[in-house]
This record gives sequence, C-alpha cells and structure tokens, in this order.
Amino acid sequence: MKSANLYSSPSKAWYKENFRRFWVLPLIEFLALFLVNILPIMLNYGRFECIYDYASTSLWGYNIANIVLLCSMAIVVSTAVFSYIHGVASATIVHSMPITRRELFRGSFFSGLVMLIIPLILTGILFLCMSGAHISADALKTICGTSEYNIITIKAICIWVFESSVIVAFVYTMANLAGILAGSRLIHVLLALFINGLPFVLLEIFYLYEDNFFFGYPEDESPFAFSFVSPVSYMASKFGRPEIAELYPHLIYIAVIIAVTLFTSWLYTRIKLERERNACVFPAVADIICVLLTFICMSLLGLLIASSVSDIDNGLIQRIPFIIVCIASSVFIYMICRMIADGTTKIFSKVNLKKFGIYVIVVAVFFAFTLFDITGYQQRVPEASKVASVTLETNYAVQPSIDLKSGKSIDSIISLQKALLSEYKNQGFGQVSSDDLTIRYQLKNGRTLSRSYSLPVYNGKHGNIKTTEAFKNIFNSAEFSRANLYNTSASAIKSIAELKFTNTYSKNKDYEESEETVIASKDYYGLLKAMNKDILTMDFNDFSTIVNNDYDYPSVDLRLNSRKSMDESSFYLNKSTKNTIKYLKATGYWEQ
Amino acid sequence: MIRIQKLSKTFDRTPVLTDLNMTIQTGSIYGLIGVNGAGKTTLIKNMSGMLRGDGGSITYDGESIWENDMLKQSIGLIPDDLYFPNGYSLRDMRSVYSGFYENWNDDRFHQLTELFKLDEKAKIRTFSKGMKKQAAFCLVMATMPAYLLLDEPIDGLDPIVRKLVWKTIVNDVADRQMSVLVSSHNLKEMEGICDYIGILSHGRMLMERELDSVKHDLHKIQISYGKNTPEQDPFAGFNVLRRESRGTVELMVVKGSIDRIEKTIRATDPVIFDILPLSLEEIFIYELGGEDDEISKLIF
Repeated sequence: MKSANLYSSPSKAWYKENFRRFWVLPLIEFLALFLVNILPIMLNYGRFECIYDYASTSLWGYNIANIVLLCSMAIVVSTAVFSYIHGVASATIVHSMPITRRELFRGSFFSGLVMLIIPLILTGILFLCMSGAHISADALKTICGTSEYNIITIKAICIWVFESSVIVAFVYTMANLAGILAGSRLIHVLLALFINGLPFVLLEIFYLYEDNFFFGYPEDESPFAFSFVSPVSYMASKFGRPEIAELYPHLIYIAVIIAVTLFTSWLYTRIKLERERNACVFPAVADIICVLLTFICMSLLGLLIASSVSDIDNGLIQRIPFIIVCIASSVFIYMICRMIADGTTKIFSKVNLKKFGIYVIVVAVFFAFTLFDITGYQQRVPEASKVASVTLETNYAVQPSIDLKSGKSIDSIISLQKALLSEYKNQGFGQVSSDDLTIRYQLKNGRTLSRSYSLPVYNGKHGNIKTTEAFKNIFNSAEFSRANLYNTSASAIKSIAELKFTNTYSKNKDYEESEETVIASKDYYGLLKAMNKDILTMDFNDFSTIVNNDYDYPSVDLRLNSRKSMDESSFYLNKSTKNTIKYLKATGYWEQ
Repeated sequence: MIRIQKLSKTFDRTPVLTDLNMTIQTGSIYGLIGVNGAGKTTLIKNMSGMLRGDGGSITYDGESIWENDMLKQSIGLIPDDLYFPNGYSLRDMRSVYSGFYENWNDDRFHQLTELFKLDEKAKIRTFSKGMKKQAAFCLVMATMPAYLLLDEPIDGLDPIVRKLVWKTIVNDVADRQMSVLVSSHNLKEMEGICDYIGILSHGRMLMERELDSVKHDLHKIQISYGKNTPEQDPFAGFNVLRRESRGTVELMVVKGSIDRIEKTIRATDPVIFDILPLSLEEIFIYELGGEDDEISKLIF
C-alpha cells in the first residue's frame, strides 16, 4: 500500500530539512542580539540617559559588536547549510535525491537567509517593545549634541532591521560563493573570511602602496572607497542617525547580492563533486587565491619590514629593502599557499614554477606602476590653460577649503606644486601629518586632478625656499585673502550652528585646561567682522607661526548647520589678531 | 532499461572510466564486478546523477539522468559510504525520505524495519555498520524504486541478513520488474543472484555476459571408462576448455550444445558420466581462459 501523504516536494523537503537541522543557529543569533542590543536597554529602562550613547550606536547600526556578530553568524549559517557538499557520503546521498542542483542551491540559500533574518526581525520587535525608554527632560539638558529624548522610533527600528539584513545577506552571499568554491568545511570558512575581507585588504594595500610610494597621492580618496566597498565597512565607518537617503548604497549592495547569488547558483551546477576533497574545486580559482594571498602577505610583510629597517625616504633607498623582502616573502608564502591548495608538500613541479612565474610578472608590472611610477603620476602638473578652477585645503589658511578661479591664483598654485615637487625630498613622505596640503584642480575637460602633500615645519631649516616663496605669493594675492574671509552675510550668519570661544591655559607644566564660552548670536556679526579684519592683515608667516606652535592658542570655533566636518573651522588668536581679541574683551567673553 | 554508451570520466586528467558501454535490462539483476579502483563506485555515482561524465551518455528508458529530478524519483541508491545526519533516528530519516520521494511507502518501511529488527527511534549513530546498511536498505526500498543501484551492498552483513536482503530484492524484481545494479569486488557474492555479469577493469568493461546463455553453453563433465578406454578420443570434435585426469576419472569443461555432447558420449558407453553444476567463478575462469590476472583477483 502506497502512503504518499507524507510527500511534500523535494524543494519543500529540503527547506524543512535545513530548518530542522539548523534551527539552533537562529536561536543563538537571536540570543546574542538580545544580549548585545535589548538587555542593556532593559536594564537601564528607567534611566535611559545612562545607555543613550550605547543604544544609539546599536540602533543606528555602527555597534561593532553587532557587526561582528552578524558577520560571524552569516559565515556559520552558510557553512552549515552548504556543509553537505563537502562530505563525500553526504554529497553522494543528497545529489542522488530527486532534486536538481539549482533547487538544492535555492533551498539552501533561502533557508539560510531566513534563519539569519528572522532573529533580526524578532530583535526589531523587541526594540519596539523598548520604545518607551527615553531620556528624561533634566538629563536631556546635560547630554551634549542631542536634542532628541526618544531615539527608539519605528522608523529607526525599520532602518536597523533593513541595514542589518543587508549586512548579513551580503556576508552570507559571499560566504556561499566561498562554500561553492571550497572543497572542505575548513576551507569554506577560511575562504568566506578571505572573500569578505578581500576588498578591504586590497584597497588598504593599494592605499598603503600609494601612500608610501606615490608622492602627492590624495589621502582622502582611498578611505572613501574603503567605506563603500561593502555594507560592513559602510556601517562600521558611519556615524550618526541614518537617514533614508543614506540607504541608497544599500540598494547597490542588494544588486550585488542578487548578482553574486545568481553567479553562485550557476557555479553550483558546474561543480565537479569528485574534486570536493581538494582545497578548491575549481583549480583556476585555487591559483588566483594563491596569487592574491601571496601578494597580500608579501605587501604587508614588505611594508612592515621595509619601514622598520629604513627611515622614510623619498628615493630608491626605501624601495631596495622593500623589494628584497617582497622577493623573499613571495617565494616563502607562495610555497605555503601552494601546499594548502594542492594538499601536499610535493609542490616543486614545472607547472607550479610556471604559475609562480606568472605571479612574478604580474607583481613586476604592478611595481613598475607603483614603486617606479612609470606613468609619471608624481610629477604630473596641469597646464594653467587647462585648469578651470582650483581648491586649496591647507592648515595655513583659516577656511578649511578655498576656491580660486583667477588665472593669477591658478598660476600661483601650479608654482606651489612645482616648488613642492622640486623640493620633494624635504617634504614629509608617507607620514601622517596634520600639516597637510591638498590641491584639487578642476580641469576644463570636467576631470579633477588632486594631490596631497605633508608639509614640514617651515622654519627655513629644511631649505624649502621655493615652496615657502610660492606659499607667500598665494597669501599675498587678493583673491586668496578674500576667499579666506568669513562670510558675514545675513544668510551665512543664520546658518551658524555654534560659535564659541575656547581659551586654553596651562595650570602647570603637565596640565592644561580649556574653557569654552558660547558666543551669543547677537555678537556673531561683530566678531566675524573683527576676525576678517585680522585675516586681511595676516601674512603667511603669521599663519605658519600658529601651525609651528601646534595651534597652542585660544581660538574662536565656528560650526555651521551641516553634518559635514568641512563646515567647522577654528580661528586661532595671537598677537597678530588684535582686532578679534579686542572685540572679545569688549564684549566680555575674554576676561583673563 | 538502463543504457550506458561510451561513458568516460577523468579525475584531474586520470581516466577512471573509458568508453564504457553497458546495458541493464528491465527486471534484471546486473552484477558489476571489479577489483578496488576499477571504477565501480564512480560508475554508480555517474548513474545516480551525482557525477557527470566527461563524455558519453547514461539513459534510463531513453531519459538522461543528469539533473533529471523526475527520473531520480524512481532511482534508489545505497552507496558503500553511507550518510545519516548526526543525531538522526530511522524515524527522522523516514520523514526526510518521505518528503523527497513521491512513491514513499510507509507500510513497506515499517515492514522492512520489523523484518530487520531495527529500532526506528534509536539514533542511527549507535547502529553497527551492518545495521546502518540495513537502515539504508529499508529507506531506499520504501521509496519503491524502479531502478536500484547498490554499491557493495552486503559488505558487513551477516549471512542471515544477506539472505533477507537478496530475497527482498529478488521479490521486487519479480513483482515490480525492478532493475538492479549490484557492484562487488567478489564474484562469489553474486552467485545465484545475477542475471547478467559485467567485469570492470581499469575503467573499461572487460566482459559482459548473460549468465543463462553462458551456463547453457558451458558444461562441466565428469567421465570414466574404467579399463575400456576408447581408442579414439570421444571429445575430439568438441571445444574442450579444460581437461584434468584423476586416475581413470576425467574432469573437463566443454563448450557446446549439451544434447550433442550427451548423445556423443553416451554412444561411447562410459562407466561414469555426470554433468556437474558450474560455479560462477568457474564460468569466468574458463570463459576467459583462466589466465587473466584480473579474473583471478576477483575469484580468490
């Protein structure tokens, strides 16, 4: 007698099977999310101000504990739902069952995704239950930087669930790709970490190369790309309450998730399961991973050792130990990678030698472009006739960013860059410096050419005569002086969020104290006028004195109504700012 | 009918199956014999749809097996290397299989577990190797397969259970016209079970025979004339594959029509004339000349 009532369908049976076997994983995820997010709020429900910072970090998506937890769970779930591929016996049984590989993949993928997202939704519901927690009116006054007493809103919770789901889905998708490429569970986990971390590591390494070997490489470009490379870095590097507009990058991440999933599904139908005991089921992928791993380890070791054995230098001296370390470490690391990929210590063959030869050629080409700058990137200076405008960002000016358009100013900036290049050995190179100079040329063809330089102390010791002279020319130009002034129009004054006077004074040798006095809005105009009067009389030497003395002066700090850090500036007070000091004393802000 | 034509499979440039041809008739049991590494398991994995051949085809009644989920509904596989998820009982496995196979027969499953005296609630990991084989057999047979693929099925089973397994299979072949492929590295295991035998060596089909026709054509004869040995050899006109004298008694293996042999010999008035049963290994020894090293490995 046939009893077909138990039959559902192979696809449904596969979903059911996955949920039955791995139900404990979403439970663990939910408990961990509860401990990280909900429990602290529950314990401080009546005094929410104590947990405000932590709760906002969690709810606004940049709590590192949450991010690590979601990434770990995504990899664990992926390893679990695709574990059957990596066992000979399980792969034989599962693939002989009446279900196609496409359906198997779909079933595994979606059951894993559901197991990852359900705990997030449940945590969202618990957040909703906690929505009554808010800062008391008294505490609100003392918490700096917030005017909100209730951050646990439905909108914030929905955004949290959405952003967290994107993170978890993104890491899970990449881990699934790793699972299909890998030939064992261990390699699945390692490859999942590798694929998820690869964009960050490669970007960071390229940044390190450019920073160490490209004189003038604009430092702020790589971190920008770095934060957008994955939702994980995007969330980890952001601050503040997420707005709807900030969710747009997530749509790109969702598109990437769909594309990678379709590719992985297609790849799954092409796997040769007999290779499952190998490190990687696609030999070409194993070769690529060997090359990438060798390149990453070689670069990190090279940069670390080279920087520790030689002082920062702009010439070839720094590159020689680096290249020696790279050659030695490449051979060593490639051998280890090959042993893992081939699953044997017998790796010395003509085939592997040929593969290593290809790696050497690729690295040599890369070094030609970076270490030896065959494209002339460092020396590139635009012709004045091709420049539409130029933006200067320097600590030597009051305004964080100064736009210049006149031909004379553009010529001066080009002269400054040429002077910097001619005296480049004196500049800080590959060092983190607060005394940075960034030049952005807006070319007439619509392109932008940016260069950043770390400047040394301009006290004449280093002989930066040409650079100093070029700087002085810029500071003496009328356009620069105008652009360096504060805007005193009614609308500009209206956009000021805060203007304060910070007086720093030393109590003794080791202890410094600062006192902040908020300037009343009625005094904004007068103060800005006084500051502008001083700026017009100040020359390059006055500004460089402030920089050379590490900004150890009282200051007037201005913050505009904007979230961009560029909209904050400080005006330091010394003997050359007599008008400002006089105004502050007259209005009673400066008493000492 | 399962038809395999020019099937080839290589594992990282090492040929495992080469231009393999094989036919399994509907309602028959096919014994696939080969030493370790001959390619039996690879062939079965290809036949179950787990692996895909690099060349050639595998069809079940004209349908290709690759990614054919409907066809897989009618294929039952018991691999040599069994798999049960950790912590699962037979009852858990029942719910897995019943969800996948539309022909799942629950009554049959319970009958078989009772027959093999297996506890459905016990964790399978506590079972012995033989019990695990029996558990897999119960599950697969309850899916009512039209095609059954068995990779070393009786390895680890005691003689009583072996008999039960074969009995169940033979009954299904008779009742439902189930087609069976059984692989083994030992010819003796196939004795009295198979309708067809194929010998696989280094990924190639060394030989393929229908046992009935071979048995019909090959005869083991014991004959003695006492002191009245005929002057002319009575077997002169026959194809004698092997001849051995033990005193006055001669033992020989002769190929040809048994009626003609019997008529000719009886006319010479022998003292003893017996037609003895041929074992499977004897059939293959004499069929292949008995010199083949591959064959001797399979028998001894």
